[in-house]
Parts: sequence; C-alpha cells; structure tokens
Amino acid sequence: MNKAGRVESAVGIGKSHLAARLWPANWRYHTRMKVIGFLFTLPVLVFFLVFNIYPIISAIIISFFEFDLFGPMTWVGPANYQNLTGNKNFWSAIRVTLSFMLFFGPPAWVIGFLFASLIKDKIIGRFFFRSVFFAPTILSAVAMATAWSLLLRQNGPLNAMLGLSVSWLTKQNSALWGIVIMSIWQGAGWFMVVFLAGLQSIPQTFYEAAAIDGAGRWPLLRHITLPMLRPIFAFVVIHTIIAGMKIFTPMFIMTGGGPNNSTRSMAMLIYHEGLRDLRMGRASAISMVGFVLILILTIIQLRLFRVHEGVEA
Amino acid sequence: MMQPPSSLWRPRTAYKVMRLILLIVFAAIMLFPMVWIVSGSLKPLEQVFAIPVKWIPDPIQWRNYPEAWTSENFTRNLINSLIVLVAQVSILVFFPALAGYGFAKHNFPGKEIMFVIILSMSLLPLQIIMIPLFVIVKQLGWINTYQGLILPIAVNAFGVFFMRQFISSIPSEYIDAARVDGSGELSIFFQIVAPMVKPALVTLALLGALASWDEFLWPLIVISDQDLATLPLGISYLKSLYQAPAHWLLAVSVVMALPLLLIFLFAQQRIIESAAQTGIKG
Repeated sequence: MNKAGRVESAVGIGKSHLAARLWPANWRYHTRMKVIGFLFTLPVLVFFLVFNIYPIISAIIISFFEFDLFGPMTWVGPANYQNLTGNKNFWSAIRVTLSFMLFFGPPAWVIGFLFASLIKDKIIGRFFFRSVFFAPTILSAVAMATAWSLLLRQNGPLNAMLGLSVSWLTKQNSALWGIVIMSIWQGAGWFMVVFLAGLQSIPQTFYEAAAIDGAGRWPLLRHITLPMLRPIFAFVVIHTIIAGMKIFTPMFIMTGGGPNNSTRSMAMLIYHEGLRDLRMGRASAISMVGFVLILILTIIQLRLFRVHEGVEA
Repeated sequence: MMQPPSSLWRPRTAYKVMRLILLIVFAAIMLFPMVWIVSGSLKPLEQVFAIPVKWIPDPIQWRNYPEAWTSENFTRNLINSLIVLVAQVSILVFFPALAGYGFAKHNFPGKEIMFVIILSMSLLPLQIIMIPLFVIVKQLGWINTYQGLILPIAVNAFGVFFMRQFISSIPSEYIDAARVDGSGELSIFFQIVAPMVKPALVTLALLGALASWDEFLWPLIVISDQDLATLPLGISYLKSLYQAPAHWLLAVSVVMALPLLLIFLFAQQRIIESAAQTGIKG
C-alpha cells in the first residue's frame, strides 16, 4: 500500500500532462481543478484550524494570563511558568508521569515481545491466543478501570490469588503500582501486535542463511531479530512516552489522583488546575510544557517515520 | 524464540510442548480478570469478594443486570452514546475521505505543507489542548450540547492520513477516464473513489466507533448535565457513589465492554492491522 502510494504520487505529474494534452492551453481548467482539490480538503482544514491549531495558540496566550473563566483575563507575564519551578504539585505530577512511563513501558514491551515471539509461527490455537492477549487493549478503558478498582481491593481477587494483602489503591506507595499493573495487562497486547508486524517483516532468508551457518536460537535473536526491529523499538518508545503524557482515565476513576497526589499525572494535574480549580493560566502553562515535550517527540517520530513505514508495509 | 523455516530446522517436540504450556499459562493470566469480572457481575453481592474466589456464581443472579441498569439513568446514557457514536463515525469517515481524495489525486499550492501540518496533529493529545478547547467551546456556547460533545474531537489526523494512503493506491487512469467523460469531481468521488476504498472506510468506521464508545475525557469536560451524559460518564457517576454495589459496577462494566468485544471478534484482522499503525487508545 505504501509503496503504491509513493509510486502514485510520482505518477501524479503524468496525470496533469494528460490533462494538458486533452485541454491544450486551458489554464482555466487547471485553476479550477486546483480550487476543487483545495475544496476537498477544506472541511478537514477548517476542523484542524479551529479545534487543534487555534487551541495551541490560545494555550500559549492564556499561559501568560491569570484567568478563571468568568472574570477578565489579567496579564501576568511569565509568572505562571515561574510558579511551576517551585510548585510541589507540578514536580509531583512530573514524577508520577515519568514513573508511569518507566514502570509500565519496559515490562509491557518485554511481555508484548514474548507474546509476539510465541505466536509468530503458525501454531495450534494461534488465533485464540492472539485474541486473548489483544482483547484487553480493546475493552473499554473506563469499564476496565472501574472493574480493576474492585480487582485491586485489599480483599479482592488479585490479592487472594497471589496470597497478598496489599491495599493497592488506597496506600500512597502502592497506588501507582496498582494502575501500572492494570495498564500492563491492557497494553501488552498492543505491543504484541506491533512486534508481530515487525517480526513478520524480517525476511526469512536472513534466518535461512544463519541457520546454514549453524547459528543457534540465541545468536539469531541477538544478531538478526533485535537489530532488524530497531525502528519498531523507536516507535514503541515514542508511543509509550505519549501514552504517559495522556494517562488520565485510570487515575480519575481508580484513585482520583490520590492518595496524597501519588497518582496525579500531568494530564490529571492539568484537569485539576484548569477545570476543577479554574486556574486556566497555570493549567495552560503546564500544557505548554507537555506540548514542547510532545513537539520534540513528533520531530523524532517524523524523522523515523520513513524507516518505520517501510518495515510495517 | 525465532524459528527458521521448517525445511532447514524443525523445532523439537519438547520446545513445541513448552511453548504451548507457556501460552496456556499466559492466556490464563490474561483471562483471569475478565473471567472474574463476568462471574462477579452474576453473583450475589456477598459472594463477589468471597475467598477462595468463587468462579461459578451460585445461584447465577441475572437480576444484577436490570437492577444495575436502572440504578442510574443508563438508558438515557446509552441513547446519548449512540447519538454521539453515529454522528462521530459519519464525520470521521466522510470528511477525511474527501480530504484524502484532495491530497492524493489533486494538486494545489501548499498541499504538501498542509498535509505535514495535519499529520503532525496526529501526535497532539486532547490532554494537552483540553483547557483552551474548553474555553473555545464555552465561547461558542456549546457546553452541555450535543455539538459540543460531538464536533471538537470528531476528526483525527490518522483518518486523513489513512484515507490518503488508500486513495493514492487507486490507479489515476480510472479517475482520468471519468474526467475525460466529463464527470464532475464529486461524482468521481462518490462513484469511483469511495467504492474502491470501501474496506478502508469500514476499518476507519470501526476504529472510530471503538474510540467514540469509550471516550471519557472530553464528555467529562463538556458535559455536566446528566441528561446529556454518555455511558462512560454514567459508569463514573455510579462508581463515585459512596459504597456503590460491586456486583452492579461489574455488570455495568460488562455491558460497556461487550459491544467492543463483539466488534473486535467480528473485525479482528482489520483492527489488529491498523492497531499496529496507530495507538487505538492510551
């Protein structure tokens, strides 16, 4: 599909040649076609301008004001940003978000990779196993957060099965772990699918050649599989970071950000500052910090995109 | 782990057996929460947290479902969710397809730049722009309205990118031939392009339906009127009640998750393929 797309856009020049031949010197036709082409993209363009680009600009502006939604906007210069540097809640949210990325990401990648390796070949029950591993990704995040807040109760089934009596979501030092455990359960299947696509794109001839040379399973993994998956790893890392920037629903439903802010992520803090406490300026300043982080990642992602696209097609 | 083609190297039986055992163990771990949720939703309340875990409810208490359903205004929530879903899916399929045709088969100044800008929006999460978006929606007078609920998150960059990719793969000869015959661009779109990318439209509609059904943050922000609340909001209301009965919470969670599971089983291949290209959710 992707390759075809590229060829087509190259052939696009040929298309306008055809038109030129059919309507010689008819520049009005060309102008009309350009306008029509633009009109096709116009609704979507308007959408992105109004609901994405304007909000970003607006966030930059609001972040320099004090604004409670009802009263007037008061210019405060960079005060909202200066406030963040000494703001305990802000650093706590940064710490929660980074911890989430760190404790959720690597385990979910490893489990996803393991699942992908196990079902890569055509084995009995492959369809079943793939469905079971992937299903938690698809099941409603809200419903699963609701149900997991019961699964993680001190008298709940998780403790019963593991022989523990941790009160996961109500203690400051275990609440984030509770959310991380659920997130790994939900996310591993998604990583499996990504790794599966990557594994299946590695040419079999590589393995054939190595097998003829008598390479064992471990060297195959180390010298062929892992290096070939490098672009996939980059993709997976970026997605994990963005997932961390987005994490909100489990916190909102399961802990409300508590106890003692131990699960209040950046997204949750933006929500609290802006929509609960009506400090739009400070909330926008936090958003801008997140935006800059995402922007840097977007640039990396776009640079890697070609490589990634090639692997996945 | 990795396995070369069978003609050169066959996995030993021991390995195959071990792999199968591992898979069964992992499947059991992954299934355990789902089984507990479904089983708990059918138990009498005092059995939900019984230790050791009672996997088969006895008696099976079906009335949990109607009781949970009527404990909050879930019928209303369901209707709202469906209205939002139908509207969002229609918008998500129609406008990105139009734009995809424009980007793939037309040339106009600024096209490349526009496309790159839209593409870069695909990594901009709602969480980052929720504050200004809320302010904008408030200025439009859209708080507690269907349009406020539906429109601001209806289109996404992935849809545009996805449709452009598919429409690019249609040979331009078909389109040129229709142009020579004097067809208008809109009729080319509806009669040639749209039918040829039908599988892509279906995939996009399914992904849109999954996302719309489960969207939580945006409704939470724009809706405070309970008559406009969607199902995810309804569940969070029930959850936030002091001492909400566990078996009801589980029953409602099953109701919420079941349509997603059905869509998944019905369109597994499509969903998995596109999941590899995009994050369906968080």
